[in-house]
Amino acid sequence: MSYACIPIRTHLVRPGEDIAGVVERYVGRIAEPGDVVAISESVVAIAQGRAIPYLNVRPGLAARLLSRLPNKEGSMGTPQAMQLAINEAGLPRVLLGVAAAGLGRLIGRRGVFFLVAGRDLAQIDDIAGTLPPYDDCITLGPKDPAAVARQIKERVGIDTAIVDANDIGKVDVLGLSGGITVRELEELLAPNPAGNDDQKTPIVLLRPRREGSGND
Amino acid sequence: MTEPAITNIRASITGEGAGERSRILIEATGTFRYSLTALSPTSGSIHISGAVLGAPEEDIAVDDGLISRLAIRRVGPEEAVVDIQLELPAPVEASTEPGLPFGLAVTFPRPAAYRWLAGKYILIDPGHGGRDTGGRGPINLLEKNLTLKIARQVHQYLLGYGANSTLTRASDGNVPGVRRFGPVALGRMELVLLVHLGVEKKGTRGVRTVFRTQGAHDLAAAVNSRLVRKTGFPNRGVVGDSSLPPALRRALKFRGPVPVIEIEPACISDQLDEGWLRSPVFIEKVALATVNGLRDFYAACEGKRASS
Repeated sequence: MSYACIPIRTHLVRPGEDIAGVVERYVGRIAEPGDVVAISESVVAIAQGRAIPYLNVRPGLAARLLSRLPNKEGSMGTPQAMQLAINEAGLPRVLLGVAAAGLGRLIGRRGVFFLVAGRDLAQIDDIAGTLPPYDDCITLGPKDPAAVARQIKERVGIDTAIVDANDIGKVDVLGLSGGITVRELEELLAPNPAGNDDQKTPIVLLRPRREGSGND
Repeated sequence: MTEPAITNIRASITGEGAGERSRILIEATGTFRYSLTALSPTSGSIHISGAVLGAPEEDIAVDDGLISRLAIRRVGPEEAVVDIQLELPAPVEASTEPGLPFGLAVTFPRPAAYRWLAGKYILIDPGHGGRDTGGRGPINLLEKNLTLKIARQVHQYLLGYGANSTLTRASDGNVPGVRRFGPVALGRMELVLLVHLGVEKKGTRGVRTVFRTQGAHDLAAAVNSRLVRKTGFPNRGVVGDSSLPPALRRALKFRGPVPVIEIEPACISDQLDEGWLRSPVFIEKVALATVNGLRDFYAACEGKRASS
């Protein structure tokens, strides 16, 4: 099925906000049967209070050493982000990931660290990786995104996906209540209709295109 | 079927060269009616009817050098108004984009807003290079690489607006002072822009602009003001410091006075600033703000000449 992608501008979501309430406010009255909402994982994480000021993180020796290894353009280049990754996944898993990444590098494979240490670590946004006023925070991935997607579906009645999309065409579907396939989501969100700058459109409404409805 | 709702408003720069435009796009889940009203040469509004305002009421700072601000507000159950504030008068065009989302694009041509830069000879020096790495950030980003990224982007903008821009280096490498600043002595350079990053004590971050020659204060202030506004960074101020690279000093002696300013759009020594410097969007913002500051200065000079 073909879908139209409609970016939805919202207010700046704050820690502690009810994310289902945000979806209800902006999408509830315009949703139609068959619509699906795709919500940026970082806004879910912010609402869950998982944006942590970097000055509040005290990196240990392991984090300081390990943070020297990844690409500086990536999301775990600072000791603080590495410390939070260690807190999330545990030092043994992170070390295993680092070892695997080293081997991966030898054979020219990227992303091996996250395959071994945990996919959830790939959702960490380092310092300045999120819009102000959260730019001085390291934003962890959302907690239990599949459950969040289900809760929104139950409350608002719209199938929901929690996604991590970026400007280089990479889409990770972290939670999905149904209504659309992961493959379809990956294709639809690859151009990143929500944007990666300061667009403030953390929700994308996906509406099935119906022949003759004029929405094509 | 629900009533159409306005779901998004955003401003962007589209096109290149003579076709470059500032564009406001208003998106909705269905068609709506609109009318444009000019309130003054630099302000106007779009009245929208037949759609509820689904997006939040908001003031949006655009600061792209032509569009200063936008504000969207609800004025009735199915009516909204978008107020537009421009920096300079510009002709407007509106067109609709059918489909879903339905879009109303309101555009303003940009090149005329930069006419003061056309034909200006500007030398841009990305600080350091080669073995001279300059400052090093907490996660080991190097000043020489970041100054190059910023300088290249400024150079591209200036060329696009018809300036005769020259880079002292276009890649990493040690460029001797004589080669860097030779164009000042030999050519018709009207401005030298040094690009650096701050290296400061812990806790200090933000924008600073240094005027390195007498009479360049206003130029530095214009650029600094733009940088602070566009980045939202703390302002470390506009300061005077007459120290110059020896080769540049010699070139200026030979050539006569040319304004020299140095931008420091961020402190590489600060972890948050260094984080921002990793972002291509931030580099783009810094470059645009710098060019807008130069434009403001030259436009003000012309205004002063005209009034005298």
